Amino acid sequence: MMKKKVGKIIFGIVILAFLLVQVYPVIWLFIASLKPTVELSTTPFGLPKNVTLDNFIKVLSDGKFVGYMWNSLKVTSVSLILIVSLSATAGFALSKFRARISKGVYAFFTFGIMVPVQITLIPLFIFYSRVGVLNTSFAMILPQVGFALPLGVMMFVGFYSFVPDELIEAAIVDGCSPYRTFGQIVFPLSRNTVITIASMYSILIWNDFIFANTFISSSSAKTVAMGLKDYVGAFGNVDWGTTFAAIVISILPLMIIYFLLNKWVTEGMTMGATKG
Amino acid sequence: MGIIRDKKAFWVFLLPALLFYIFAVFYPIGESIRLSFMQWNGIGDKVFVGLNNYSAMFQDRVFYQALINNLIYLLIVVAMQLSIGLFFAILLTFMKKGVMFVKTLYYVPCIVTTVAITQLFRSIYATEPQGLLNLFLQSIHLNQWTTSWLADIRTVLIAVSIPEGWRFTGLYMVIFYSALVSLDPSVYEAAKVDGATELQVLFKIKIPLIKEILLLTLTMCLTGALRGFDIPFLLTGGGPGNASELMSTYMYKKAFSSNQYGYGSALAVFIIIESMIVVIILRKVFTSREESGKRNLTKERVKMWKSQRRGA
Amino acid sequence: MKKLINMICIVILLGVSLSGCASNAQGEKGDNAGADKVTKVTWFTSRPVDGPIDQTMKEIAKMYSEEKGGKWEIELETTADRPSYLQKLKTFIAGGNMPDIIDIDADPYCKELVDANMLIDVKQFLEEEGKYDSFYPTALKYQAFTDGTMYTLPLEYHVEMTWYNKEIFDQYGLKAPATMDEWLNICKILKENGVTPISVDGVDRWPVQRYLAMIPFRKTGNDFIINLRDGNEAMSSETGIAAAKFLQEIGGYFNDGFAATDYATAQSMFLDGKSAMYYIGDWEIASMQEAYDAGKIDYFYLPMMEGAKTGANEFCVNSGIGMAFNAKTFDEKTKDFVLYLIDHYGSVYAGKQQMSPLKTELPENIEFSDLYLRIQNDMNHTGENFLKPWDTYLDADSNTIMQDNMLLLASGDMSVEDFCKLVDDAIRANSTK
Repeated sequence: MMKKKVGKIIFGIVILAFLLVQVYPVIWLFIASLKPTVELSTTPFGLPKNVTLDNFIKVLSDGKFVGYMWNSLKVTSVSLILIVSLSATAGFALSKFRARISKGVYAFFTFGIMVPVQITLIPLFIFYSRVGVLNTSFAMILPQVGFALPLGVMMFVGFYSFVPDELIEAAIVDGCSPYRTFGQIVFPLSRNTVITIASMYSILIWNDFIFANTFISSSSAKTVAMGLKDYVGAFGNVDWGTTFAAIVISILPLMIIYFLLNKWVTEGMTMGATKG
Repeated sequence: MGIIRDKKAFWVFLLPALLFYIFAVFYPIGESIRLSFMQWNGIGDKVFVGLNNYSAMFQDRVFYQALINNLIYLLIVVAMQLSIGLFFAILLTFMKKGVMFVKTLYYVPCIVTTVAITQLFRSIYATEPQGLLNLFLQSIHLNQWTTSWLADIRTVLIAVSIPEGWRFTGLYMVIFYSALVSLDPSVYEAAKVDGATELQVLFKIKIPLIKEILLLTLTMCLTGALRGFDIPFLLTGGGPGNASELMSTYMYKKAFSSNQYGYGSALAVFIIIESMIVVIILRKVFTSREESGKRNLTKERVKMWKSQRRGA
Repeated sequence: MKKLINMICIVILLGVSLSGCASNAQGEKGDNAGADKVTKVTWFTSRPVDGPIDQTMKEIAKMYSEEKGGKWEIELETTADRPSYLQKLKTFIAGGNMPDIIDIDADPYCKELVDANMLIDVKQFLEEEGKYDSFYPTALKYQAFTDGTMYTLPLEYHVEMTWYNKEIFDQYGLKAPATMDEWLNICKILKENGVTPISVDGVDRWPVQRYLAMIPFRKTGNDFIINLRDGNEAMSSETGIAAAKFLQEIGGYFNDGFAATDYATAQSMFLDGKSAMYYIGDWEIASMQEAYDAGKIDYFYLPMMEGAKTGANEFCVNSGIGMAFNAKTFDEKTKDFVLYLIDHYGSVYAGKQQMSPLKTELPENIEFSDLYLRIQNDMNHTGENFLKPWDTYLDADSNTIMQDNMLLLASGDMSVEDFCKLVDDAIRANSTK
């Protein structure tokens, strides 16, 4: 009896300890954003001596930040829609159609997982400037979607492999076109895979810096990740207080969505992962 | 696989994604390969230099250092993410209450921006003012281990790998947990009845059953680590010296700081080939077992669907 | 049916994002055709957002625009973080898309732009318009290449000094050093008494590079670094080794883990009394003001050396990153604006408690602190020579190698010989390219 109890306590401690390690950064971030910048360098870990909302006021006062968030929202949502629809359709094509090239195309797609995104910067930039879409949200969306497709296609193909062929055969026998089969039968089943992919990439795209920084230059199209760097001073001095406040504001939407939809998300990921 | 024979529909479904992908990924790869045979500083003309960049690369001492650093980085990151993720996923399966709460919170670090994580860890590793890590070591009387983790060349590589490893542990934990939980209990209940202990059940039955997931996560993890850039770059910029230089930071620096786009591209091509080799090896190791595992699971699912349809 | 609708949606979305967003891009480039159109000029800049230069520019642009009946606009596209700015600038240029106005140092990369005829000869422009003498000579000299040509316009003017904590100094009976040896001695005494002598921002690299440049500047002015760059001198020469040795010695007095200490931390360490000295320029006057007025801190310039070629009133003076103009888009209207700018910049900028690179009368209605006035006085009495930061001389690759490895040298993890050899090898390798 004792053994079991001790075991349970140790178990609980381990779980809690890990929990603390995982959650601490966010707590730290919140506390840091409430400190005046000077305190951050001298006592980065204590509770603030002078709690201040100055940092937040600074960030919100000129209204630019809200604009940045709107841009990030645009880019993220369009990218997500594209990623999901393109992966779902391509995955469907590759796993449910009889075509000799399917295997090759699939390998072609999965190859993309290995590519370091930085190499695309210059070639894409040159290409964009020739086509004239520089400085637009589309410029950012294209590489994000392109690089997300390998994993997206992989997950959908994996999921579809669990959708039995008999199901599709039956649909065809009933007279459904491939389009209808996809739209009415197969795709709705993949709800969980969709959620998995959406939750993963929404975070990655929202927080992306390198593509935004390279392709966007006008302030009106800046995203949140770029906006964070606004608080760099002359010769490299960073105003950390304001930067942290900006970060807190920028991840707030993500966190709210995550906590609200949490059940849905983790449930979705649960099934998405197992069937994908 | 594949049973639908409609060629036109096939292309309708496939083409949009394919086009996006080719433009966004392959066109740059092609350009990079082309560029790797040239010398270019970004302004003037591109000069064709054949394999010069590659031969220079194989004689570059920093290249080898970055390569080794990358492997160490890889090991640490993957070991952390997968083992800690798996460990806690397993622990979680023994929890009765509060699973949802814990799962949610474990996932949180993934949401935080790299800039914040970098600054946090910079403070944790610091000596003046004493960061959390050093304070902690002092409190358990391991004073001789305190150092400026990011400036000390012996520790900087490890110090830089840890944030990356820690960050996505939650993600993998959630994936593993889902996989473990979705296993059909009847499979191992039977084993338990036959007298197997929890541990035996764990190692001999559960883990082999989630081989597929392991492959997937291993692939994700490895390729992610091979491309790892943000945190090492922001934390130390590859320094001091090249002690924490990774292939990706070196490539980026050569291209954008040193204005050697040709050489940077050669490095990029190397990274791609390196990743390819890793993935191929992984597939070889896992594929044979995966195929048989998949066949079994497919049979199970088909049974499920059939029974559902009958019910509906 | 559902799928078809889905597909249609996708196509529409694609179309919308392509066209709708694309319209943003077209508004950028200025259009000089009709007199009724508003000329828009883009300044791709790396100055702090809402900083004094940013504000001054916007104010002057507004004034100018009003005088010209609102037909001219300048748009500032700011990336304050310098490394990100440079990456973006290089990407722009590599893609054949240089903006109308950019910020750039007179470094080798800039030289390449000049050689490709992409920048306006600012020196010629100023001389033709008779504005050359409106600037302080040193401010202009800083922007010039070694051959005397100048392609960038200065918008700032700074001196760099070592600030020290008077209270700590008094505690150990120390005075501001007049020579390098005195300086090292002070550091030694402080360290022996458990005080951190100097706090340094290693993360940004340039502060450490300053220390490396000190001895050569005292010995030879900027000749050493110029010769080093051109391959006529080696880091392994007497001067070079002396420089490296100095860095290694004084590096022992830097704060622990300086290689990972960032700007903000190094500065607050000093302001918090945790370090005795801190090297930074006058752009931090605002942060130093309070402690200075309370008599807690003071500053000294680069100490002297026996047999030095440069005087005590010669040290690091810089006029910041310069403003360069795209030769292709520099038209009459932009020219007109630049002249207007030169006429008004000084007073507006100085009014923000900044040191102006243009000779200006300080505006009467603004009060300037003692510290400001004292530093301004110092600036008016600097000698002809000034320490030009090494990262503006060396080619990018050698500079990166030097910067990466000097951290190891300063922390004692690399020997003087190894460091000098690395630098020499890098410069040699890059000079053949």
